[in-house]
Amino acid sequence: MKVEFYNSKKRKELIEKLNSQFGVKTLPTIIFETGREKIRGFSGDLTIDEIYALNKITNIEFIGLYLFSQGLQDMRISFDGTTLLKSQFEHNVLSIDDDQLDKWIRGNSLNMTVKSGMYIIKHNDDVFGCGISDGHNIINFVPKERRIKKG
Amino acid sequence: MAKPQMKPLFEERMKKLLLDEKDFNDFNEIIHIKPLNYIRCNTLKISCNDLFERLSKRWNVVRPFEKYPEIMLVEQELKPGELGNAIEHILGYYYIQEVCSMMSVIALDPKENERVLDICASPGSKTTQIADKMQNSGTLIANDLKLDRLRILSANLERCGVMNSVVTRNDGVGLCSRLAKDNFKFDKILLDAPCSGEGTLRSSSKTFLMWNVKVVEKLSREQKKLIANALKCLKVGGTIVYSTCTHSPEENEGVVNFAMKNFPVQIEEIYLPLKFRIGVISWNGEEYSKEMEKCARIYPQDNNSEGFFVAKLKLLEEIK
Repeated sequence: MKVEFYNSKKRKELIEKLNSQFGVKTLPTIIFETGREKIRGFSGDLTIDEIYALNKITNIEFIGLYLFSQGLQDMRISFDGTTLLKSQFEHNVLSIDDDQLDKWIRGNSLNMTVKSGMYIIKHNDDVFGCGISDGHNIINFVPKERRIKKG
Repeated sequence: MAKPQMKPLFEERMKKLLLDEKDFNDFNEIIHIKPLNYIRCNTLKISCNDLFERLSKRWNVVRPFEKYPEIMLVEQELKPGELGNAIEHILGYYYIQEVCSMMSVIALDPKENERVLDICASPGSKTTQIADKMQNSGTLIANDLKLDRLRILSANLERCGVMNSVVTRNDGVGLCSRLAKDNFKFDKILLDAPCSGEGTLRSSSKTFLMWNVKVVEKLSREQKKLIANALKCLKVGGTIVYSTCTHSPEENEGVVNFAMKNFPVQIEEIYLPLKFRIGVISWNGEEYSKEMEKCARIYPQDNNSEGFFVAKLKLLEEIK
């Protein structure tokens, strides 16, 4: 297990980025980075020292939930991270209709003219992860295993 | 295509467990019928009422157990993959789970802020149910042995928004032995042991072909090792639930009886929302403690479900 636990400074920086992008103000107790710039959150009551001690006697494969990754410029919130944080989103939220949802959940990009940047994709009260706009299209980030397969 | 049949020895053993002829015939009939479409609401992501309301617009959904509103039954014919392809499933609002398999977590009754160990966690139906009961608090250690199984477990934990879990890859015996040595103790442990799967005939007809009494005996020995080591990781007063999806007494009461004879444990009464029968106290010339009657045997013909076994044990004093 290779992880880098966030100290209060790094955590504060992350919240500031998420706040300016989407309005997110609070995060789970322990935040840490694993390989490939993936940021995960752990809401359990184990301390960081206990996690290290546990790792010495067990093979820890994963901890907590994958929440964010650092894009080239913007933070990207994971598919399940958006559900977890959905009550906090204040800006950069794109509401889509039924037809657009049908395309999105099958892994297709959406033809929409909006300012470039990262957006939360919302349909009614549900959120479906993030997409990045190039100005004309919203590029789809729905993980393959979470897409509707056929039909 | 001809229906798969029980092997003669399996049939003989089931007849010994189900002495009444009609009872056995009912069993033999239902094991050839596909199981019902049960789902469990994941309250980490949506309330039971909201999910019920949403799904009721699309399907005929009922909630068969007043005390457990998270358990829902879709009472209609569905297309293949329809439950798995629904938006609500993709969003992790529900988990497709046979009702019997929900019983071990109901017996375990995990609570917020507890420390819980799930020793054989993949694919994650019970693990996500535990996390739901804990509301992502405390700590849930979910273990399994094989990497491919852990990937499925991890995908299900992510889909359900489980954030209080630590997923480990170890053989169960070694894991428990090392945890105990380092004094990592748990309030509750689920040991849903690898088993011969006699209770899963309705969903997995290959069990008819794969069944073998030697496998039953081998698994029984492994299950005894697992429970012996698992008990050492339990806090005094803590609870372990031992469950299997099989009917063989060697893998069920035989294992619980072994634990009772060798460790300071007490078998607890279980309250489940399904009809169940008491555990057996003698099998193939072996006598078990009368306490085994507190174990729960779930037969498919009693609830139109799969088959299952659940026992709940409390640790009375520290194991040296």
